[in-house]
Amino acid sequence: MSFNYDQYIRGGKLPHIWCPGCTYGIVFKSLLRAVDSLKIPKDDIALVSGIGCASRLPGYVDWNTLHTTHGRAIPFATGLKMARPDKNVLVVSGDGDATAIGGNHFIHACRRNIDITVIVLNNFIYGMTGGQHSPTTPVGHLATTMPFGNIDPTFNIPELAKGAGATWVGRGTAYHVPALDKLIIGAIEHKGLSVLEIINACPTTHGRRNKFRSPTDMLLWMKDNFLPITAFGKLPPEKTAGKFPTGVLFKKEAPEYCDTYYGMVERLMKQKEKGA
Amino acid sequence: MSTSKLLQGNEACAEGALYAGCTFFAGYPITPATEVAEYLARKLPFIGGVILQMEDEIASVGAIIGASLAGKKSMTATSGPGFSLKQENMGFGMLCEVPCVIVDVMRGGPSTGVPTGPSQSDIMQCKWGTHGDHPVICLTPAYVQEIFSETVRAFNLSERYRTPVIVVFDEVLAHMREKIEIPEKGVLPVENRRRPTCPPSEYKPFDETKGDVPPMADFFSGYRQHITGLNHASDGFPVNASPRIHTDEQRLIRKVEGNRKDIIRYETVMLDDAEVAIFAYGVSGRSGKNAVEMARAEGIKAGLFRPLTIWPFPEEEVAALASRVKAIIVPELSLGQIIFEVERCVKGQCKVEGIFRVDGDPINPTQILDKIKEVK
Amino acid sequence: MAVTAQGKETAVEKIEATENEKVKISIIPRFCKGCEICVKLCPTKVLGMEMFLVKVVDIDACNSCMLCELRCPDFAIFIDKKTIDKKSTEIQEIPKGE
Repeated sequence: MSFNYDQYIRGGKLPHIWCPGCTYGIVFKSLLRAVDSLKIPKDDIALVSGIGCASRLPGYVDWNTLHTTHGRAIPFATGLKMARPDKNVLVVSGDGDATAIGGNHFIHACRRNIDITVIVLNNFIYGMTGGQHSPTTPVGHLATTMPFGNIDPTFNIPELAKGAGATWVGRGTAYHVPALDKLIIGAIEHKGLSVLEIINACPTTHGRRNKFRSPTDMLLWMKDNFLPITAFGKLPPEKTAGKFPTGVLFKKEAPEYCDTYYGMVERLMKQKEKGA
Repeated sequence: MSTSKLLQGNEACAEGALYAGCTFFAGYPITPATEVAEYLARKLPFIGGVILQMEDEIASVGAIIGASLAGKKSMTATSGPGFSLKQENMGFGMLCEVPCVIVDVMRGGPSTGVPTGPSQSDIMQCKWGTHGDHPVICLTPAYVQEIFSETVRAFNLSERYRTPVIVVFDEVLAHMREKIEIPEKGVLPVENRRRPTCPPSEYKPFDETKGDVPPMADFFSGYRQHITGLNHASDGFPVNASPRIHTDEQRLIRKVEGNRKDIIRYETVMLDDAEVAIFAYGVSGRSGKNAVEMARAEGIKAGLFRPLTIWPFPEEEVAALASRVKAIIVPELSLGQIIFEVERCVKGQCKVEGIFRVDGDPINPTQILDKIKEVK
Repeated sequence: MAVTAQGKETAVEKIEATENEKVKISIIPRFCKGCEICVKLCPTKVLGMEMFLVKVVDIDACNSCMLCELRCPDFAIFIDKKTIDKKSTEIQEIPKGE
């Protein structure tokens, strides 16, 4: 085998709970390979999640893992990171968890530019609860709470992150897999708030109801509609409808929150010493 | 040598937190609790601590739980509307047995209510606010000195029993200024949670074989663990439809209810030979004390039972009191909440009468005196 | 018995292995959920389905591209390339199967 996954998976936990054809397992493997290549010791990394299928990921991984309340992974992660700024803190969250109920925490973490890696597994639906529409369900798609076709406009998660102040924004898919490893590595290595949206498939509650005949078809849909940023850039404007760029979409350097906070603390403590 | 300070209640609360070793505060501005955050914002950076103004009340509890899991003593402070928002994450803290302190400075309610006036109408919410069966420790100081010492006690109880502890007072106490004595470090005990000594591979975060309060490892300390808000087994992993859920929930409740003798504290004033008792806490307890003194001056045998711990409720003490007095008067700044607990414990042994007030002012001692005369 | 990441003993999963001189394909039937992603995306049609689980139908068509292992969400299929020593001048006798 190309990689020893067992070293990271908690014993006796497989097979995991995700449905046949759910692409979260593919992303899970990519995450393990990426972290392994960064040689981050298991004790030095925390994975925090909210509620939903994506949020079940931490339970399987032999790191410091925390499965919190719906939408609230980021504040818990913020507490962990501010308490231990020397450690690696990752958040994994679904599209509903991160951008609906968790939206406020999402934008403020971006604003703060705290060094946390937020991985949003976007499968365009609330899967665990049976297929209700989420802020990313495509317009016109059927969901249990939009039985006549979704009328809600959608978020563009990278644009949302960028607008809120994130300093590393990327998009990958469960189809484009070797590239996904590199994106995860880039997101973790970046010092500041990274948001990596990973396009995923939920055949059970979304695909089946929306003319995708198999999980493979959903992966092929990703192949056809999510293009590397250079290829996307070459498309004439009339051909970009329904297509999205992947790769590192935005990156900039800005003061990281823990650095700023603890820099202030150091300055104040020195002042106090001088004054004493 | 202790240090004398003239402080308002909120500031005394902050000082209590610092004395107890708090190095992490996350909160959101809300009248009448904001001064706790403001005071700590000026102090925490000088001891390398963290002060975070989060984006909302819910995030504040999340952040303090995250920090506590990383080994820090942490606190947040709020009032009614924020306390309502915090409930879900507080329940997470209770189920996952994470030490932390939540301060609720009660104001007029419900909803936006009267932000600048006192109330005691969150008291049932302290016990029942979050869904599911959960252990609750809730302390009710009535003097600025007590806000200091009860906040220290709150941290100690939270570390000792591995559970969030609520400290609740009201807007009047929060903003009144009294002279307090802050003891030297080491005078008041400061406790830390029991951490595991077993090898990391054997560690289970909720290992009931180690007692009702299992040792708790810090994140990033070499003891890797999974903490989830789903009902879980001793190894932290979720369980469904298992007898274990029942027994573990019982352990959580027993952690607190089984240690009443240690957790329950109260003050009594002239209660030994009392014929009429006042049951009152917080600012109403202060009015109650005045009323008792006024009554005694008129020859009426009145006494005061003032709980410092309201949850777990001092059931045995109230039942014993009811067996030897004619009446218990319950003044509270609500339309009647804690009176239900008093009635439950009294079991008809004596009369129970309430004095209720929700107009933004504390209960006047003369109101209580009039009631004493009425019932005796 | 196998040993987990945490050093605890655990039962070894049953593996169905098919191999030739170039490659060994290992399938863990208990983990396979029959999603057919590997079958449909195999470029050389090595794999098929039987009783809702993946199986190797044409091992010799396998060129070790590793896509099935990469795309399997369930840790159910693994590829082990066998290296052929190109510098050796001896012709290696491939043992006949029993």
